[in-house]
Amino acid sequence: MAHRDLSPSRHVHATITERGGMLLDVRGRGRWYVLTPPGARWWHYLTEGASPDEAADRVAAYYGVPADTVRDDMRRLGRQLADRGLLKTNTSRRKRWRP
Amino acid sequence: REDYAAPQLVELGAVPAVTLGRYAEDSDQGR
Repeated sequence: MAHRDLSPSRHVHATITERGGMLLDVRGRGRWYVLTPPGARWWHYLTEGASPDEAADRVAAYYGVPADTVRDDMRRLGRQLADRGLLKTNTSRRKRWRP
Repeated sequence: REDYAAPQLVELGAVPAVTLGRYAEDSDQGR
């Protein structure tokens, strides 16, 4: 999976705080997920339009830890979220032209 | 500042139907 241009799926409702995040997937019967604070912060930056690596760099700056470490961690988290359909990959931001 | 730790995603399971409808109505991401 390409790790660029990830964004929250439309069927996911998130409540993000300094203490972590709650994600609700409203498909089917609905499923709850919890994100620990670093992941919740990364999710928040994604919702602001940051790329996954940009968001990871901001998390790294917040905690004062190496960006490479956080990028690796967030790539792993991104795969977990995408596998569950909580994040979607935006392959292109350009709309297709139709005559 | 709190220490950094690798992020964790924990699945809590299914949601009761009544809660689901109520929460979806009430939940501005990141407010």
